[in-house]
Amino acid sequence: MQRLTFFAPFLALVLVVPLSACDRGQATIAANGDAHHGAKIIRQLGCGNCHTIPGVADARGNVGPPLTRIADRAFIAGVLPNTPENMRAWIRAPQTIVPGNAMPDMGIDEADARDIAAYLYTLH
Amino acid sequence: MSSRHGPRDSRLFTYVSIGLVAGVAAFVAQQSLAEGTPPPNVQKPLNVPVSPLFPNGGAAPPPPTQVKQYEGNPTYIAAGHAIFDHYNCSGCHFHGAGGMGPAFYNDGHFIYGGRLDQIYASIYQGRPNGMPSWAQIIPQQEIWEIAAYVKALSEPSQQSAAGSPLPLPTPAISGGNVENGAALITKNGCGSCHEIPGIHNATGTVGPPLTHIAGRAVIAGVMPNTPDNMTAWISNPQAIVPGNAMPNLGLKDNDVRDIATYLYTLR
Repeated sequence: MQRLTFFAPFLALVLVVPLSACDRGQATIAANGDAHHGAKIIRQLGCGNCHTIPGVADARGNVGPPLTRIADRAFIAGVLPNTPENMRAWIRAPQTIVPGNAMPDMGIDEADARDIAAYLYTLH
Repeated sequence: MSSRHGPRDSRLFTYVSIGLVAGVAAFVAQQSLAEGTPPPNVQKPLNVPVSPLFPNGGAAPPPPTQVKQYEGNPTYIAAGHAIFDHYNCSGCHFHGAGGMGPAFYNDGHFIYGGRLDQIYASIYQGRPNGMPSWAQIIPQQEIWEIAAYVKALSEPSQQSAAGSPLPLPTPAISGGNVENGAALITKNGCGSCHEIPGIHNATGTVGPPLTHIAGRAVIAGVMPNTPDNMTAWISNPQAIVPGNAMPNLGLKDNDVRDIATYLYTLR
């Protein structure tokens, strides 16, 4: 019991420190990934056919919502907190997350999703 | 119980157990609520064969009556052309010439079948490698019209009929007041979550921007943008996408109508 009392403050510190990661600033930290390559993939896949995306040529779609300031947005697709992990998950498999929604599953692999997300997280 | 476990331990145990049970119960309730609610606008898909093969040498079912009704009909073709443009199908199928998606100038050779009901099924169900399923977004009649247009593109004799689209009516709500709509948007704090042109301090980044919302094809990712769907969404977003981040504000029907009227000025 005395040993527990001694270690309690260190234990508390270990448990509390990770909580500091739970602020929205995490979303503005770019996901690991190549944003340049991400912009290229975005253009190739035709994301701009449905979305207006700053910095991507001809990305002026108005089928889905604009991706302006997507890096600062609190939610992805209205249902996911905006984190790099959730962003990649949404990009890879939107039909799994909101079945029947208008965004198709495009068969994007993890590396490309990371690069796409890296580009999107430059959009403040 | 051994005397090593004091009263504080058993209280902690009680609180944690209550929390766990409540959490699990809430999760299960939310899951069953989500599963029990059928998605809007989805009717049973047609049984459309995509190949001439049929088990046991049997015959394919006769094509549905819509094939005769919609095929080659200039009004439906023109309407389909307008809807094709509205959903930006040209984004992948550039005005029928293809691109990311296949071309429709194909002499009737479609990957998943060129009969009208097969084209309908491809649009309704979606197809691998990026063709979305439009079942929940586009009403069935409009999918038939798009199919009629697409099929007209594929037949050289009908390509001239596929010329000019009928103009789609711009969404409008009768009887709504634009100024009151703007005032209600301000009063209800919509701008704290959404960027909304023309509304003071409406720069929120919780939800998507409402720039050009009048021309947007899809509302909330799940409904075609029509006045009825817009008012339904504003009135009760939780009924349409349970658990999504937009709250029910308990607005009266007249107020919803005025808000939608304002939004439809945002072209």
